Amino acid sequence: MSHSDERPVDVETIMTRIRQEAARRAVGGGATPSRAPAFNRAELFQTLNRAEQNARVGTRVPEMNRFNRRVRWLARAVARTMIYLTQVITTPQRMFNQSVIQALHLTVRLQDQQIERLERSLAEVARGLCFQQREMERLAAGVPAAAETSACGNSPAPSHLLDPLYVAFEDHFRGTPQDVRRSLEVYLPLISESGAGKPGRPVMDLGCGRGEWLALLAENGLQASGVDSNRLMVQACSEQGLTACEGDLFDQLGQTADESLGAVTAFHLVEHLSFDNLVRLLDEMLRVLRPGGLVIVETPNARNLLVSGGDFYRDPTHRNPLHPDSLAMLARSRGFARAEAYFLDVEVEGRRLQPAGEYRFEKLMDYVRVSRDFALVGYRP
Amino acid sequence: MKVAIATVQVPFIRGGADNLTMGLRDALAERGVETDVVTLPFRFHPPAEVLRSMQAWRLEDFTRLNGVAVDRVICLTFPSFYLRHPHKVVWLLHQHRAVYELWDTPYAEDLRRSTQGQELRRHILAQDTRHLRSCRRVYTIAREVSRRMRRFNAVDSTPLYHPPRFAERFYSAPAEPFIFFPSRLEALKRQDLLVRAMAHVKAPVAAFIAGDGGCRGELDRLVERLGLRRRVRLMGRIGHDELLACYARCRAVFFGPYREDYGYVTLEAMLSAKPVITCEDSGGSLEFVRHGRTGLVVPPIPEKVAEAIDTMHFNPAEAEEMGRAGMARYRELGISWQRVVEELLS
Repeated sequence: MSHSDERPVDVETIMTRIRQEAARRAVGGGATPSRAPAFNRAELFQTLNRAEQNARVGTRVPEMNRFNRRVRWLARAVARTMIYLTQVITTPQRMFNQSVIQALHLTVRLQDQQIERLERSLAEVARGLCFQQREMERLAAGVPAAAETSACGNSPAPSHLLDPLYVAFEDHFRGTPQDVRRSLEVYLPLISESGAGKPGRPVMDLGCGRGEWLALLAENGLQASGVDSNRLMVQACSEQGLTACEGDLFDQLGQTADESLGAVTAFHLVEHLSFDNLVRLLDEMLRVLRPGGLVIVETPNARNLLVSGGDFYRDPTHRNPLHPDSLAMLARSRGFARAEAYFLDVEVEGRRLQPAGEYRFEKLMDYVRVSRDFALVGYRP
Repeated sequence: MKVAIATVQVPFIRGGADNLTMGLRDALAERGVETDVVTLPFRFHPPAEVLRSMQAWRLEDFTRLNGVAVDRVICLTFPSFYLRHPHKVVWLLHQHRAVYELWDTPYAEDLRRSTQGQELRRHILAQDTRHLRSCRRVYTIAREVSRRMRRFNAVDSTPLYHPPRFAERFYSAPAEPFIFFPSRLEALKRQDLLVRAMAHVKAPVAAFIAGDGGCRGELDRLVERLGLRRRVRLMGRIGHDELLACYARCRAVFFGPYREDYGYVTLEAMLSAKPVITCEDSGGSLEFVRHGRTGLVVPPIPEKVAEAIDTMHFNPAEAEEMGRAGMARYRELGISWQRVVEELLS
């Protein structure tokens, strides 16, 4: 057994990761780390109470029930004397104990007051921001939408005023970049098997968001670029040294030559599209793929009761949950070969792709336990 | 059909017993049986209070409760099975442990040394035997409990396993470098054994100890004294989601209490596909952990526990294999509330 490994374990990091995971998996699935209690008030007061009880230690004579009566009488007398003496000596100590506890109580109360004040002023600031944002939108509407064109495409730029809001949504509900990254690792083998990402067969990621997938591909030495219509997201990618273009995805696909890509991926994108645009997207994807190239499309799973029953609609820009069967059928009918829907089985280590047809829906719980997202994988013949 | 579940309540202390009571109540309700839990408070100290509690239960007649005819009573704890009912069944969690298997240990030292305590022991043993014999059928929650009943009361019983709470919510995920031990913090659970072991562990792993209880201050001081602040974390009481995540992510679960009756921790670790490190005198967990197959069974000595933790860390593939074998074994045992209820009502 070798133990040259002297790295200390980073307890805090592990603990934080576990708390985040727990918060994410909590019933209702809310990815809101703020809900994980940073500290527990009840615990604080319990500890203070314990301290208070012990602050008076050594001021009472124990019962001494185990002695018989005469010995007990004598022992109690001795104990009383002892206690009297120690009390004289420890008076300052006890006063100190009690003042410290008192001070702690005061601190808690003071903090509560200050937190309340801060929260009030924070709410005011937020209200002010909201107002300004609306003002800006009103002003912008008056300015002719003329000169500005998007950075990569040449169609007129859409409004970017709501971009920060959507970034906030993503941060709040999609999970931390690390989580998203981990969950995307499952697709790496598919990419490398198909040879995509090698020179001449780059990967294009539509709706690349904060660039988790692009970063993962880059780290594995694979060529990739992203497209996103959200200016802030594209900025975030560029800051990490990733190639990403700001623009409309149809514009970007339209500028891409036939049979020029090894893979096209779209994570949590198609649920934002109308049916017509979904069909158009699949057609375009097929056109730009080289033979043997693949598409990976991940989207919330309509078959999961919790997703289709509510969680899906957390994002107000979502249109409707997609059924794995229909998406797979659609892809096949537009000309993809081996187009299959997969559930993302999380029970075993990490995530694993499980063909959707293999999952058994027998009990009601099966509809709750089935993966929250599913993936469509299809190949250009 | 009306079934009363009789048990004692130890005010302000929650633990495995409550899970069992609630689980049984829900399982009965699911089967369409009208059920209610009936409790009396229990004080384990001083001895006179234990006697009074025995007396109180002996005076209880459950045949009719305010004009409601009770068809069957299921008694879960000492001394609830002293009650009167023509059709009472015992499914015993454990007996009054202090006068049974703990009698010769330091955990019951005070009692053993006093004449009152010795008197109490004789009385409980005799009365338990008598009242257990008055039951229609006697079940226990684990083989360990049955074995003790055989030894001390010469009463035969059938062990009947039940699943831990929310069994369907446990999951497994890639391991992080820490050992997990959830339990109430008390001497019998021996958290101190894990803390002491951590001083000898060579692998870069941490120990996460979840739970709260009387020993918290003592453990905290021990951690401080051994200079283990950075590697041992007393997490306090944690929420269920956090518990699931800890189980899912740990390298292995340590569960080495002194003669535990059943021990949900073992089962929960198996449900999370994690190997279990337990001790030769841990009781219930030994019914499930097979040394080298689903975990490691070691003597209750810090150095040996430390060795086991190192083994788990330096042989991750084997540890994972043991975890998976544990999960398979759980499925094999077919533990379910449905079976428990069928058996208790048969």
